[in-house]
Amino acid sequence: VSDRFCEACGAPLAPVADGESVGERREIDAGFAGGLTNTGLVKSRNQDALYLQVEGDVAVTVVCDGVSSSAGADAAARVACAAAGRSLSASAATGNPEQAMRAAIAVAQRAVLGIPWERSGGLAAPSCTFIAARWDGKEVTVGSLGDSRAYWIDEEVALRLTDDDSWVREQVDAGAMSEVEAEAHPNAHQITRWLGADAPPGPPDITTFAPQRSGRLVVCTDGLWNYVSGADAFASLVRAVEDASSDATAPLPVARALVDHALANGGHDNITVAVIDIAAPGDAHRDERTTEGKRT
Amino acid sequence: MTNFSAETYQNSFLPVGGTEVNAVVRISASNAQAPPGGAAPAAELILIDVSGSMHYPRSKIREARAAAAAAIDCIRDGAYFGIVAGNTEASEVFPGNGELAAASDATRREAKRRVDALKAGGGTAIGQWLQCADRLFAAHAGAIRHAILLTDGQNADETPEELDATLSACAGNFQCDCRGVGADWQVSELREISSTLMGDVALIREPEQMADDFAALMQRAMGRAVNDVALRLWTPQGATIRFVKQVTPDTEDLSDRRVAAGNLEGDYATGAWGDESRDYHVCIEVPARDVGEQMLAGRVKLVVDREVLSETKILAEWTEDERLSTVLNPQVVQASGYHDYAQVAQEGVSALRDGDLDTATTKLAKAAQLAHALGDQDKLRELGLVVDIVDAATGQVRPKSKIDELDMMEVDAGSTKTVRRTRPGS
Repeated sequence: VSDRFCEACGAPLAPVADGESVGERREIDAGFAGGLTNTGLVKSRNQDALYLQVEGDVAVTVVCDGVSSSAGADAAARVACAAAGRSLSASAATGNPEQAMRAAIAVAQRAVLGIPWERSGGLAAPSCTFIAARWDGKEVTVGSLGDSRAYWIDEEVALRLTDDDSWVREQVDAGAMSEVEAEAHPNAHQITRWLGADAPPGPPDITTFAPQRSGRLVVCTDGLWNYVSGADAFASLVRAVEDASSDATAPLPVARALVDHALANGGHDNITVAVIDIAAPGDAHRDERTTEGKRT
Repeated sequence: MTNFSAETYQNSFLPVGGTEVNAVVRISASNAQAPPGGAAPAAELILIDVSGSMHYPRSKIREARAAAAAAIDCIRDGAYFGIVAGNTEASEVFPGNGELAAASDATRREAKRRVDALKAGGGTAIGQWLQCADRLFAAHAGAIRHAILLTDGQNADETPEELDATLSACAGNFQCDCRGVGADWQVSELREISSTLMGDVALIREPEQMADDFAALMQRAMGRAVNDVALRLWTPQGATIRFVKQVTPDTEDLSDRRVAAGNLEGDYATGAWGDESRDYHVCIEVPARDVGEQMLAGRVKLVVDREVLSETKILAEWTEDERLSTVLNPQVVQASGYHDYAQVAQEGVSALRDGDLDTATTKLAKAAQLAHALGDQDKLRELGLVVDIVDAATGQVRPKSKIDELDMMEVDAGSTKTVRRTRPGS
């Protein structure tokens, strides 16, 4: 007779081994996109998950950060990430990109709801943050719930493409605190949107961005941006990484260097970074970048 | 610190395709005592009927005074208390001024002196008494609030709707045990009050029996140390709760008391607890699973002050083996038996009053069979007051040719009382 049961459906639970999950890929090199996830220096487990796939001109990345106050946070991040990633990769290149993103988020939510879990230690239902970006050769579509971020960096501009769903942003938007004050507050890491059974309702933030010049899309969890928050600082860091090494400018080495930056600053959280090199249609540097793999 | 324990009695095996899960959950409290820092604050009120009928016979008002005095003597030092006399209005006999007094030798003596001077006169509006109690208890929100209500007549001077409205307003604010003396009050009316206010109801046949009963009630109230205890029932997605019923010490359907506590959980208030043990019959309908599979069909937690003090599981497992699935759990059989008994006994008495002897005979025959199966000699004795029991086992009964109203009331009022027993022969 089992004495552990799912808190949602009552089904008996198989014994689950604790510790790192087996066979999870830590680094993904997909040509013009690359990324990795790292446990960091403080946390004992990695509750981030990364999906990254390139097919032809289309690149898809999904990054989920398991909410540590929830049960099965790592499972939530893993299943949400895989489900949304598969959904976005399978969606037709000619379809409506916003609809594809909405569908992927819905699939990820269902996947998280399906996780068996057991109530213990005051943990909430399994939940995770969500960010996904899809480059279809013309536009970048980004969907987000929570506090992972997407940045765009090219030769002329540095942009943050997402707003955090967070306590900090609520305080700043309400004019109650400056961003610096709010980020120093004990509540700074509280999020206001996530995936899971107790997720607040409402449509997710979805933005579409058509790059004018070739550049880099960087998607990351707060394990990185905690150490380099503003778009300009973030861009400076990316450019410094590129300048530091003559050959460290392919997406995966850039992502590694960004993770190293977080580790060098304490690595207090799990760190996940995905980098997609985007060659804008009609950009003069396009051929040069793709043949040499290096920005000029 | 009070210890609560929870235990499930059930046969968890269901036949192929079976969906109904029955279980009796036994909650026991031991070493009931107040949280550190002093005695649990208690607030007690005695509500005495002083309508004109309390003079007939004159022993009623005299014994009511004696009963109140006996109860007052059981109130421990420091507990807050008050006396309310009720007719069509409620008057604060002691201490007055909308307050309760802390019990001491002096206040108990003064309260008894004033009770001794009570005179009867006027009609009956019980809602007024309860409203007065509600006002007096309002200043003692942190205390275990309990009242004893004594009446000898029907609630003639207000409408049932007025009483209902008052009960709704008072529900959850205090608990109230109801006692009826003589044959002129309505069992169903007092049962409605005691049920809503989480107390019990009983008939006092003779005025002389009042004092002992009141003392026992007050002693029980003084033994309660943990307030606002709730049963929290978790059921899985897709399940339906058929009912949640208290089995002992009284049968009481709690299903409508459910207050949602999150998505899959609901709370059922059970009032204040002393050192005691109560049984609850939980019936849950779950989606059938395949043979050999098992599931958690429910979980009962005991919640005090948002803290879970004890919990127990209700399981379901499906089997093709009928030797397993057809076995009845004795506690579940007893729980069902007592609930069925209360229903048929009340319906039987009601039919007797209406002169519908056929229905009365059928219902009371069923009641006798149930009492026999339960092995409950008290119930058989009570039924014997209104019917001649030819053979309890086969349910052969004959209504008595002349039936005393008090006897019918005793069967009626006693129908919800339960005693824990296993089945005879098991």
